[in-house]
Amino acid sequence: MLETKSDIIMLISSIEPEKKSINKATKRVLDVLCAFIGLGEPLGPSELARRLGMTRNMVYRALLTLEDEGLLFRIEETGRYILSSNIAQLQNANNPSPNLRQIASPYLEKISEVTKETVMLFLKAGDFSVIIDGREWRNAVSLRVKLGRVIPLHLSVGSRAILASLDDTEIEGYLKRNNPLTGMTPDSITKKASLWKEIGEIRERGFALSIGDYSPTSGGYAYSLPDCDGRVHGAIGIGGPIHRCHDAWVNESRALAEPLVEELKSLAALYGADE
Amino acid sequence: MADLPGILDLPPSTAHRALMTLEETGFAQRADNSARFVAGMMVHHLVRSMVLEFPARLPFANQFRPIAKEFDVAITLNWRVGWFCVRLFSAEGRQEAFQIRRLGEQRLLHDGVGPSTILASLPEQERKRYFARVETLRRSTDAEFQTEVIESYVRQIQADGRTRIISPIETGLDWVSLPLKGHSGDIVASASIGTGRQVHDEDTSIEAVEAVCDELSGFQKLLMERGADLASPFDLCDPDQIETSSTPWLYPLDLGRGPSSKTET
Repeated sequence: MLETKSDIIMLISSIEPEKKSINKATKRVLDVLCAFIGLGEPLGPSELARRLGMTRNMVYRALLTLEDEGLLFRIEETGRYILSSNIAQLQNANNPSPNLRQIASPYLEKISEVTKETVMLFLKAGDFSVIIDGREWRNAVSLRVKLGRVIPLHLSVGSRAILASLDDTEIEGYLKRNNPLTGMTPDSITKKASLWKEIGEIRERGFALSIGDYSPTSGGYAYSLPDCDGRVHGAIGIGGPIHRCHDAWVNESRALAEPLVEELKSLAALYGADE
Repeated sequence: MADLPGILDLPPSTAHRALMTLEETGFAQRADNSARFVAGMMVHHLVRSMVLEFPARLPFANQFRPIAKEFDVAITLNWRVGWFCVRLFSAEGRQEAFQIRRLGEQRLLHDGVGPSTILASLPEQERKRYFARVETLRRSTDAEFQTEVIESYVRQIQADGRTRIISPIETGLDWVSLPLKGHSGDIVASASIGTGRQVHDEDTSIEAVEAVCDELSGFQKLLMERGADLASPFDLCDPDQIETSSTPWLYPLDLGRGPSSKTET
């Protein structure tokens, strides 16, 4: 069970150490450095050793190396470490930061592989979501990824995952600007009260669910992707033909997808939605 | 790949294996499917994680992002880390074409309007200490040129509490920069406001700058009141304690990047 952000990051950086191209000692040092991704607070050698499954001695040597190279800073009062601002020198200031699509790309592949369904990446754009990337699964019948499709925030699973992550004032603003709400199918949510109820359920469940309310032939579930400042980048959705979208499928599929979705959320939350 | 053995003075096979390790772990990636490499995703994630270590960033971002849009100005926040500062926030208003201001970028305190405002606000002894320190790492002798410019900023701050730079190009941004104090009363950061002559006439520009400065007074009050909550772990450290000692290559000083050479913030 992934408990902490650093557990998640360790999952990201874990690769087969038996690969001949990998220098194990270097990898250990890099693993220690990666443990600080997304943490936002100091870490000590004992905690690191526990989280990384290394001996305290190994961790301590890696910390000394990283401190000596100026990549970690040791807080005298506590003996714990944080990332040093020298880390910034490793990046080329002229190269742009990765965007959501670049961050999410490897996860679209992995989630599609484990769930064996189509995965889509939605970007929030004002009162709409836009499908900016996706991976279609290789079934004879699969959901198609319609790149560039623009969907109102109350329709479809990705849009509603985004809508539910906004604060209530923003949602009221959306409803005011888009009154009356339009639908796509007889099952579309077009009443304010029903939409608020759905938003409540999404917030409680932690994901949005859609069976036939955007398209009569498809269904799926989606998670919002928050940014570093409590706003939302967009959402990631997993879906398939409606005949496959029963409760058991949703539960089984989510169990496979969620660890990867949580990793992606942790990384997306390092960046701002307007970058 | 071919450049590394010479730069690092390593046997080619060792350099190759190190680079492969960095590629496999996401610290390096190929540039455009070539044999050249650039920083990988892990580097970007680490830089962003470093930026998120500064507690004052989030309240500043939440307060000033909408203000940048409302007044159509650029606003940046630079936080002091020893003899350097780190850009923690940058918002661009509604304008589309802007000088790229990377979050997490680390610069010496004389490099750009924001860092120079911090430097010019330090006590005189500490400024002298800075120039002596920078002098020992320099590869040329522009020290007098740099100190004159900083001294002009010192005079501006003593007179007006802020620095002001007019862009040498018509399409650039004019900047006003204000120092910010932490709860100990020491200078910990600077906030800079950029206005474009293509967007604002002089009166609108002055109005926008003054409105943002009012908001910055409020934020300054927050920094003083919330004390340790918003302090960074680096705020109370001696600058020499923070600076790396074993890797001078980590910040090769580019002496052409003094504060008057461009209006970077």
